Amino acid sequence: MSPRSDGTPVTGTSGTGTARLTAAHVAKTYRTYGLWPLVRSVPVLQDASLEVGAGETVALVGGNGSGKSTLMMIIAGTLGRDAGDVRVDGRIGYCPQTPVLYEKLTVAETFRLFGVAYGLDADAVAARKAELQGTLAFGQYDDFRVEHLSGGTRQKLNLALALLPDPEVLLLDEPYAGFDYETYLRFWEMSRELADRGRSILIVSHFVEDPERFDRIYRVADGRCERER
Amino acid sequence: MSASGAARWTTPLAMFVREYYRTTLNVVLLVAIPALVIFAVGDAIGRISRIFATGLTTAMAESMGALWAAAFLTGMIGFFMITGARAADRRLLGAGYRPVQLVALRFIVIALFGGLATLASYLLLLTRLSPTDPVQMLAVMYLAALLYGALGVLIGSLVPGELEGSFALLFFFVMDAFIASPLFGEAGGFPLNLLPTFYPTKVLLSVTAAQPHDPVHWWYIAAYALSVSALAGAAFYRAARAR
Repeated sequence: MSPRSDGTPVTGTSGTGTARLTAAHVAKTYRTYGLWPLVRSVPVLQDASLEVGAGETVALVGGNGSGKSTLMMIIAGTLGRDAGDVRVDGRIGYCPQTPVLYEKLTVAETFRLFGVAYGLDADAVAARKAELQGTLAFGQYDDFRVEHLSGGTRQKLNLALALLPDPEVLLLDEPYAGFDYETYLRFWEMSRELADRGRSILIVSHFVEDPERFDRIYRVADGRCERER
Repeated sequence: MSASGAARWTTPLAMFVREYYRTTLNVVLLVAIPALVIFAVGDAIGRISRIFATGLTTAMAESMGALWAAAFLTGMIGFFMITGARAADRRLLGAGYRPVQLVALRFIVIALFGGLATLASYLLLLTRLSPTDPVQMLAVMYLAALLYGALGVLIGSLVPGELEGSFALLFFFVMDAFIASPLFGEAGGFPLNLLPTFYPTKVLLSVTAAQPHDPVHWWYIAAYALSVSALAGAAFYRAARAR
């Protein structure tokens, strides 16, 4: 766990116990680089805090440009923050909003490459791949290049890569965008199973259609993150 | 169960190589650019230099064209490899690769394709002349290719847009190739000797004409290639980490 920037540890409790993921007082301003007067600063987050406990499924909602994806990227470690503290206990699996994949590789090659990156051996990758492709129903695309996949299948692969190492903390940014209704239901079934196994899940969404699926809901607005439910 | 240390190198290398050759245009350019530069540009420069009596023979102009082709192709490979996979590379880092390892992997792939670009240019050049010292000719062409590969990485890491970056690389290359060449007379010294192909061109022309050259030029070329590679590696490392 990383300490707060002033050296003191952050502790907190979620709805169900000790937090596995804590973001405290996170601030972020995007700056464009250039010569005056072309330089612009866009403050997105000012004092955003949230917690997710073990076994919890938490929603992060908000309007377009509210900063929910920014907050998730900061938690995932792919974006730096200006202030605040993030603590994550365990491995992170991050599913970005837009599928981020190597276009010329096949589905099988993509699994192999990211499996190696996660430190998994070939047998472990094969087992997890079969499991995930079975759950998300895209096993028939193994030899297809990513560039030839439909939007929904790309999103399945995007999500599967986040789940590949069976991480303790899942950060999913609009994970079911492009899914058909059957896959959407299968996604929730899988999320329930993961939460039952103690995995912590944070899901970014524009709006929540099924609030009962979440243990808590945070809304990002005006740079802050307020607990809504 | 964890992936072996070797697999952490061989798997991404194999994937990055596939990414390159599965882009049909890349394979076409690997032959088309050397052919165009050696046969068309080399021949044209040879004729112009005869008119202006620069002392540059057609063979010299064509061998210069081969060096330019290898350098330019590798520069483009370096540039598009970095810009085309920027987001996916960042995700790979998030999955567990260290930035230093990813930098090394990308450089290895660029060195590999730089070798192919050099070989393609050299083989096409052989249809026009018989070099007296093929080893030195290949070596200087390959060093120029590596130098431009590193420049491609540097520009790709610093310039966010593909269009702006490729334009910057092309403009820089054209300026470098023409100003550093002896086409406009026996220019030399500071600041022309700071151009990337200045010393490679000097060595190449001497080798083509079977003339002696100062061995220190090799050190200049190597030092230049290493310096640009170090800068490019640092820029790529910085760009690959969290913004």
